[in-house]
Amino acid sequence: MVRYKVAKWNAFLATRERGRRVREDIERELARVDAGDTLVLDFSGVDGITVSFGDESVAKLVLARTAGDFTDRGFVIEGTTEDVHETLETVLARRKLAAVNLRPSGELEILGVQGWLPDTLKAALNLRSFRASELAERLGLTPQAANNRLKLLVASGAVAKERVIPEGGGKEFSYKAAIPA
Amino acid sequence: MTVKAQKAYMVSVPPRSSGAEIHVAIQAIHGRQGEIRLMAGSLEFVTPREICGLRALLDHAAAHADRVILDCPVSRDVHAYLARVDFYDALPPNVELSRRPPILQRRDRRRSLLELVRLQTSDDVEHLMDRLWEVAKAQFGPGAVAKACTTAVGAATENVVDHAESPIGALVAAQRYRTTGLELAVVDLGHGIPMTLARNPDHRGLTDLDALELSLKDGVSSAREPGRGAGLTELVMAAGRAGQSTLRLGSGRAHLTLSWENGHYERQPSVPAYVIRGTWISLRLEN
Repeated sequence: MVRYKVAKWNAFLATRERGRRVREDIERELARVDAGDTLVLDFSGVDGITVSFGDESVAKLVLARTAGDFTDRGFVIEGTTEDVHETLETVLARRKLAAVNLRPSGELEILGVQGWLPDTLKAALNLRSFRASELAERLGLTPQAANNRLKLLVASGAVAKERVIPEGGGKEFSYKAAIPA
Repeated sequence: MTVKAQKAYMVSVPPRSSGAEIHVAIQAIHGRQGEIRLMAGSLEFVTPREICGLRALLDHAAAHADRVILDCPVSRDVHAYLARVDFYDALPPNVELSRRPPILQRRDRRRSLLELVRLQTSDDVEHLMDRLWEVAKAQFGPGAVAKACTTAVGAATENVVDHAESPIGALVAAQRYRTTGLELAVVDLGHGIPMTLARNPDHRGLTDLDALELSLKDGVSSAREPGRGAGLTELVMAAGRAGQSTLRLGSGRAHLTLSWENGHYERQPSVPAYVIRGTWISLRLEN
């Protein structure tokens, strides 16, 4: 896992302009991460962020993943204070997005929209490397429903996806949990 | 306060400014003028709000006149305090002071005082938050409330950097008083909340007061883009979380006072007789 120290910018972070610059820097770092590997967004040392900063940096990073950017590698959030945690929760929920936070205890939690995401994350972490059909089977879902869930899970950074060519031809993806169970 | 069309415009600041006089003067000074005199000799007491307001008026006057003369407070204490909070620093070149600022032996007041600062960039906002964190920690301890207050003020000031296009940037000052608590002010002379909000077609046609009240709701913004419109909501939530507090907001022909005391919340909207240029925010967090 590669670590990105957000605190290198400042202990308090504000404005959309700063958020955009930080996101662009994170994206440059993500581009250097190997496919299948994970970038840890380390917030330790950051005392507070504004909603505008959080929206422009983290929420838009997740949003870009919904459009397919850097989906072959993962990312996870770590080291948040109570204030930063609350703000990230808010900015992601406002956009109906999610990301995964690694608590100091090692426990994983979803920030942002919840719904079926915690159960899906748990199943993905158990399977580690899988196809959509395997997740569907594990959760008792239709393939379409599993694909819908995977879209949000991939965007969250918890799972990386890679295009594979199945024996019979066509288009299929294989998924890999990008964070420790 | 009066603005007289004599050889020079003259603005008289009363001993204890209510702020109304400053707003009237800012509206009255426009176009190009020869000389403006700001008569502040009788000033007896200033809080962060008056410090920011007077400096906004001074900068505004300097931008519209060939020469601005500031009649400094006669009170040695007030004159020295204005010097201590950096009121006289980086004055425009066409401003003349009636008296030299005193030379001070400065003590470290970073836990109780945030000198007047001008914010124009992201770096400025973050530097303000770093400084405010020291004052907030002294007021509330290094817990969640202090962090929330610091972040919320950052959110309120970043609005100015991101949207307001204020010719003077955002002026911010704070003072922690031993008896009453922490007072903080943010003043800009930008577009103001009603005009900024009206850029969004969903919020056109509102009265200034309706616009001001609406701007406090989460997600209400000048842009239709999702994820926007949280700055003032953060400020209101932090003020409420701090316990006993009062938040005053003014913009256009609208003024709103929100107060929290012993679990009670009160909201007092009013329509002032004058126009408030830009957005004026003051926050008091009581001991």
